[in-house]
Amino acid sequence: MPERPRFAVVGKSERKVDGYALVTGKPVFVADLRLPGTLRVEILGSPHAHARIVRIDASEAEAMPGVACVLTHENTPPTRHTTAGQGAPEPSPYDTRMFDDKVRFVGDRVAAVAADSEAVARAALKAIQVDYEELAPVLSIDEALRDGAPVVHDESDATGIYDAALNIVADVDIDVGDTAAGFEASDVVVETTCETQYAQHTPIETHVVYSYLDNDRRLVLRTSTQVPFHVRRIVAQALGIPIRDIRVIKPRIGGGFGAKQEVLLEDIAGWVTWRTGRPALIQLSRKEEFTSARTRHPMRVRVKLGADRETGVLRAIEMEAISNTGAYGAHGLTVLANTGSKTLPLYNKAAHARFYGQAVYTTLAVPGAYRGYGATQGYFPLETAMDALAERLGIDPVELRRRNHIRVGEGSPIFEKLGEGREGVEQTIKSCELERCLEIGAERIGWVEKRGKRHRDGSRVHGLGMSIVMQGSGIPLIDMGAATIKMNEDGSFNLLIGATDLGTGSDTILGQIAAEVLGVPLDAILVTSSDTDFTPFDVGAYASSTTYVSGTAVQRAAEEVREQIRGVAAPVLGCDPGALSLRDRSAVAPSGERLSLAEVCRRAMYESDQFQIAATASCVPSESPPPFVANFAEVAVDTETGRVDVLHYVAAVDCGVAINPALAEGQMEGAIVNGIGYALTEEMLISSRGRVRNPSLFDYKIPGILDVPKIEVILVESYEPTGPMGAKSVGEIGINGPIPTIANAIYDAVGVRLTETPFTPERVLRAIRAASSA
Amino acid sequence: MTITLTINGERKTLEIAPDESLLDLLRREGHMGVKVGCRTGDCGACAVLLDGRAVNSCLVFAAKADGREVVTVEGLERDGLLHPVQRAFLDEGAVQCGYCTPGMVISAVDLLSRNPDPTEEEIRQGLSGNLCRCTGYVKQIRAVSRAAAVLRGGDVHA
Amino acid sequence: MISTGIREYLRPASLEEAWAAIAQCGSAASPVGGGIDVRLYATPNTTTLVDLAGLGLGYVRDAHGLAIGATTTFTEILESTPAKGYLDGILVDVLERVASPLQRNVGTVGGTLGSAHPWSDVIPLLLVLDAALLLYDGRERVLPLEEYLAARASAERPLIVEVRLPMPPPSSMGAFEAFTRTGFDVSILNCACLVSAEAGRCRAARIAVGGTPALATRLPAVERALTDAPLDDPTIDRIAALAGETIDARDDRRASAEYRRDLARVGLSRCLRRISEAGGNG
Repeated sequence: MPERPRFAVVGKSERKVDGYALVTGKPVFVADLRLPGTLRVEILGSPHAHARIVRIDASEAEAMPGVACVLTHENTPPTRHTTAGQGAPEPSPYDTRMFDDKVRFVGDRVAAVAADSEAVARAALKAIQVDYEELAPVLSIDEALRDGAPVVHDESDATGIYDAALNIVADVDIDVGDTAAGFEASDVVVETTCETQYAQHTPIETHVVYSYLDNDRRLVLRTSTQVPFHVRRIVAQALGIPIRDIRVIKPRIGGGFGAKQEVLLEDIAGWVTWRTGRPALIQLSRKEEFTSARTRHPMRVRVKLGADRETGVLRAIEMEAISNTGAYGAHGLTVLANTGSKTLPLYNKAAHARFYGQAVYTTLAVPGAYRGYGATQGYFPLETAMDALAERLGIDPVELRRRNHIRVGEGSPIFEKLGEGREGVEQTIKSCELERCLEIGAERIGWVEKRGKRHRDGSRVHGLGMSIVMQGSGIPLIDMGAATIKMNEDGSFNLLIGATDLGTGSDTILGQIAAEVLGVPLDAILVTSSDTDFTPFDVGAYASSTTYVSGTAVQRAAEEVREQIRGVAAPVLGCDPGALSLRDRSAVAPSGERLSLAEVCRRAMYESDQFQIAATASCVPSESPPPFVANFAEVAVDTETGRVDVLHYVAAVDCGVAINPALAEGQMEGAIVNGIGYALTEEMLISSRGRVRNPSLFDYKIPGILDVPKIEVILVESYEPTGPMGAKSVGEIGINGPIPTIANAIYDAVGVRLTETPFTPERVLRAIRAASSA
Repeated sequence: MTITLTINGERKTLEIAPDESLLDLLRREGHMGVKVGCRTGDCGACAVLLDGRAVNSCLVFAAKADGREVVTVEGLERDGLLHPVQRAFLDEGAVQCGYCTPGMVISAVDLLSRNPDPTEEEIRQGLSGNLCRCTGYVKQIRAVSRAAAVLRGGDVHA
Repeated sequence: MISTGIREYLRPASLEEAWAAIAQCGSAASPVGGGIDVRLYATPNTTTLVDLAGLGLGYVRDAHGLAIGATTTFTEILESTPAKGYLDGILVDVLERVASPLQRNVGTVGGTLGSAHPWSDVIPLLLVLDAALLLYDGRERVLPLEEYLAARASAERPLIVEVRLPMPPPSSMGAFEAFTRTGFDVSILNCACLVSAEAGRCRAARIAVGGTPALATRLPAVERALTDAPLDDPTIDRIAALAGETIDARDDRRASAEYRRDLARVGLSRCLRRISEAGGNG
């Protein structure tokens, strides 16, 4: 491993730069703005899963006092686009209109009212008359693929759909070698098919946007988004407004997790403001957040593994994934592809590998981006099949991983064949501490002591399980992030970044990277992010790109500024610019003589050869170095009630150098708890008519503080030479471990392999009973 | 109807609608630290102190606050000094997006005012009505413990 | 709260005034305890809210048992000395786990009884504790809780003034079990028991199971089967199985009927074992 440099600011758990405002309740969120004359916008959602709008009459609603306008498909731009916040050209179909003459899920947009108050807007919604021609719904993957299934997207002007007539949004099929031959040649073959459920991100702040015209009649969208630049572009496209007339600002936002990597409300708000000249506020209710925002892709994933008995090494891996992408195809292709691209390379020893699958339309709530982005669904069958394989081979599961996981210096043909949509990018692993992660994790959980013991306490049986997972750090050759740094005459710097802090702390860690290069403490860096007028481009917060991609841009910009500082200071200190080091807020010569940064900037701003010390730099990554996690869990299964309690969860994580250890741990801890909810209690229940039956936190149960086990996150640092300061990303990977780890632990405890999430007490009890009567 | 109440130490006489929630009243009076998460009492983001007790302000009629004292997260800072709970949340890295934070802090302040030396289990029980999606609660539990120690040491504002 | 037709928020100073307002508006009036259930579930035709908080009904008293004023919050009950001392603190044990501290600080015992949510933990407990209610509808009267609940669909509902718990019978012990999905959740099934035992034998039993998903009811057949039976493992298993069979279980979005039967059996088994081990058998 390359020598890890000693850092002054990087590697410290600095307090978040936005922390004070958050902990004192300052009005820094979207809805905390109050402008006079603001219109409240309410959206009429479809009561049907699939229907044509035959007639829509908004005249009564429009005439109501206090109503400024009513939007329907008859008076809004018909431009088909994708709501997916991805780089252009987006790898998602253009299958969405602002308002369509067809509705495709219960809660789909029918109309919107902008009025003086929420109450007036709601009353006006009730006055809109709609005649529907109900169509047969499509309520599952199997129904979607059946012969003669109703066609969800039969419009003539949609583009980018693989086969609309068959409800297939995307189709992926890549292979390496010959898996059939590989399985033939394997001594042991294991196969499993797993199904994952509809789940929702439930950010505590629902989707919200505040739009208004500025004094130059430009449209300003103050929005809770992960992708401000994509919002600007897609709104321009959907509304037919030039990009130069739109400014998107992301203030503080209350969580995203992928739900806000989407243009969900900004088009409506923008249109209302553009038409009326008045500010507009739209905030989804919690119920709408469940029915009409975005969800996880439910998937059916089959994994087949073939291995050599003597060595325990995999010869062949096959993964087949069918993804339910709901009523619209946003993220349909890319989540599907990611299911294979972020899982299979982990086991690169297999000479034969195949990933294939489809994403299909249904007339159900719309999945989108969600932390893990398909990898989470893929690890369920992969890591439980590995567990089953270990048993068949008589090898310890940890040892089986050791013999098979990818290592430094190695690559995988999957990297090249499968990216986030089409082809990927070849890469060789340059940092990987999985060995140590496995060792440390196993020791902390008490793997050797406790596994297989089925310790009983009352009606509960204990069990241990483990898994290893990887993710990526950004999308190579596609993602781009940029940073601008300018200097002030007190030696402070403004850091302007497009990168989007969803609460993850990216403002802070990017500030730390700049501070490290410039030799100043963090408080000398003033971070402004995510304002399309002032901050340079960044794709936004997704694909675990911020630390690795945006971080590199910041590092480069800081290095350029450092050069300029050296250029100003060198003649004053009488030495070579290259000999100057920046530390303790000064430029320091080898002699020890120093010039404060404040002095340097004053000189450059006012005194001689004046210029603004500033630089902008960009980063397009050429690879996506994966972080790695070894997960271990101890569970207790109540054999009388089926209830599964996670007692202890250990995650040993290699994310390169942790720029801010507390924030890196925080990402892992939050993702793990979210993953535990996804594994045990979270499930959107869908009625036989396609309606979400439990659209509330009362009946969609996410983990509360009473539900979290003892969680230990251990940062096992590596040094990633291609990453800023040696860092890789860590935003998503934590959510991939809990499902397979808990499934494997349940097997250790009660000998039952569950293949359907969530592992509710009822499902577990039923499985235990079925196994004991078999 | 009219009510008179104290908000963060300031006496106010306000016109309210009979069915208005305390949450909506506080936000329209500019206390944006009181957050909207669900409006059904399931998430705790709207928590405030009512006569010293933490409550979901979305579940309390504004009319009920007549003659009573309300403290929001904005009222915890004194003369530019953070309340130990606020400080501990910052120091322990217990704040990510910060949307649940005001409600968490309020619940923690209530808990510690009644139980100055809570066990971890008691901290969990005290915050059981506050949902967070970012942090996994790990650092929040530590923060409350740390704040408890500071408060026991007599250092009310730091 | 969905847009409402609520036009008035009244704060009467006396029980008579409160009742007069309610009687005048009929079903368009809603009494308000803590107000949680009114905010969440008020019907669209409600025009008038009658807040009972000013009637001095927030108290917990030792009164040959317990007397709890209707607008006493759960937190106030939890923190009261009389409640802590009643039947080994069973009220505290149960109430501590109901809802969240935020809601316990507002929710009142009268409000919870008036709403009678089928998942209520308080109601099965009060049923087995033989609670009675002091009611007011122009005149005062006392009614057993069961009768009050049986009449809750009727148009004119009296106001709850006070909840009265008698002294627990000698040598009696209570137990309660509830099953939830996460820690902060309503019960998908709950069981409450009050058993008087002597020399290892049950002399009298009161058993209630709720959240079936219906509101808690006593199980007379199960109570009869337990009476005069020894409190040993075979009996407990038999009684628990009977409870599982007896309850009127249905499917709903939280659990299936079959699973609820399992939980009823397990819950009652755990309650009775705890009672038996704690000396209910000696």
